[in-house]
Amino acid sequence: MTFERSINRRLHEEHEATLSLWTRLEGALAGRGALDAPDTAALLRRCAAGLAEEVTRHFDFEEQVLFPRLAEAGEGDIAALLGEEHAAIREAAARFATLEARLHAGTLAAAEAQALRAVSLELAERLVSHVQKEELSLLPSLEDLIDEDADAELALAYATH
Amino acid sequence: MIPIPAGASARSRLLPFSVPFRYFGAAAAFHVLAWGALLAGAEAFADFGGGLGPVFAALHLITLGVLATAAVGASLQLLPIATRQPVRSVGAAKLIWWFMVPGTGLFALGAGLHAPRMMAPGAMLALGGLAVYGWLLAENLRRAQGLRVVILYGWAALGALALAAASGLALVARYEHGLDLDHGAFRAAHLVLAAYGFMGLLAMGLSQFLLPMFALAPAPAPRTARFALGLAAAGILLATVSLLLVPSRAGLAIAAALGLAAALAHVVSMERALARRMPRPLGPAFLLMRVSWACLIASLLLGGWIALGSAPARSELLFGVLLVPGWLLSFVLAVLQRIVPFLATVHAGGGTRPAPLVSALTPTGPLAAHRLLHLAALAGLIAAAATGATVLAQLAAATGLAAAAAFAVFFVHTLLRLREARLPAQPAGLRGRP
Repeated sequence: MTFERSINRRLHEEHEATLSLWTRLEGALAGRGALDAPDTAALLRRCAAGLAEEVTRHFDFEEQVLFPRLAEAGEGDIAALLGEEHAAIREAAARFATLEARLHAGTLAAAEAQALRAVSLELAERLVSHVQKEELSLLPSLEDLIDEDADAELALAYATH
Repeated sequence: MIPIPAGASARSRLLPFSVPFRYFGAAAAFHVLAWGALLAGAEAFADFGGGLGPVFAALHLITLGVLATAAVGASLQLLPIATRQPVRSVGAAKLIWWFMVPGTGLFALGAGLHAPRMMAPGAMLALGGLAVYGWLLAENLRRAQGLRVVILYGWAALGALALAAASGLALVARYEHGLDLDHGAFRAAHLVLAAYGFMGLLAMGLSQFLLPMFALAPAPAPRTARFALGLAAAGILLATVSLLLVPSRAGLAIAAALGLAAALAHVVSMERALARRMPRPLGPAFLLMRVSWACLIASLLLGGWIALGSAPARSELLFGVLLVPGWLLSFVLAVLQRIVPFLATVHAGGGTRPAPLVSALTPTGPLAAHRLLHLAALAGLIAAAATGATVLAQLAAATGLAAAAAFAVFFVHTLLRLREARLPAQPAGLRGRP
């Protein structure tokens, strides 16, 4: 889909970057290679960094600024659904961050490696599914809900969020 | 019915869970009945020429029961996403089911029992449902914003639906009241309008945003999509005119060539988009999708050959197999196995546990069994149509019945998992107790 609003284009670019990163990780983990192999470990590190940004700035902005607009427009059920998915992703992200940090520090126990692999794949699937839903619901709705002035305000607010 | 709480506001584009899933459930049930009817009438399959009986019933259980019912359910939920407009009336969206499902059942039963008097009320009910659907679709498209090309496909499909309904009504009137019309020409026009027209155009239109979503791929080029739509619409129109108004073999052959060009443009455009997808496997549903595209192209090649008058015996039956179970049924089943778990996760929220993953709602065993059995059944039907061997038709129908049962298991499994996900979490000590 193509979007005309600046805020949507920005969010869409971030969605694309998330999909690109996590589908690469999914592919790397499907190979059943060791998690501490240099390429996989580097990818996990990038995912951890990207995720920290995603679940704070991106999610917070959507929850505080965009979901209320969606709810006001009569799509509160979609806003609630996306909010619930944020909570599930945050919970998995916290588990992922802990385990990935241990891998990075070289203190990940052998038994924890399987848990890191599992939570990575879970996050990849949750993020892909969540992005698909936002691209189909949130962003198209915003195209209609906001005018040019509101778009400029939102884009500025997001840049400084 | 498995009770699953659901709700959605009237203005939302997200329909209550029960709306799309009642159509998907009916489609899964009709799928089983269709193969069962074919098995019951398999000895008549090789000589099927459109007359009443179990094969006719099986054909309409597939077209009206599976394809149209699934298309109504899917488009009621998915078109509002593409058009950025909610469904005009949720009540009307539910009402369609109460017309279409009993109507299709009655129509197929009447056809199977050679009872036109039973078919007529069934056809009227089904047409009543399609009329309400047509109104909802038109209302949604009329106010649509967003994906222009999907909207154009929607209007074209709606036009084809109106003509398919009119030609179907004329055929029922011939059976019940002896209406004097060229049965062969009307039958062929009805098939073209319903299969290539309504279902085909709807499938091509929804593919413009559904397939890229499933595959994490960019959208296909809108210009190619519009070009394909223009070719397809011209081909369908020319075929209808050449069958009903100005009988012409050349017209039919040109129509098939236009349809073939449209199909090739569509498939190439889709494959190009899929080639640029994120580095993620497409998933097994795309095997069925690609088989369906191959059958679409093969049906148009064979259709052109038939139009030229030089095709071998049994070509018309083979054409029907490639078109209905080959192209449309394979495509719809491929799409359903992706959107059913996806939409289920949309409605899985509200419990105290995190929403389940799409993969957790997708039982791989039944789907793998379905895929294998469906493809075997399709190959068997093609062989049976080509050779006229009754035993092949019986084997294919039995295999198709098993495939349909596996698909029904997938559907029920997804509903049960969804129900589990929506139940409040129990304390650990209580889990597993009755």
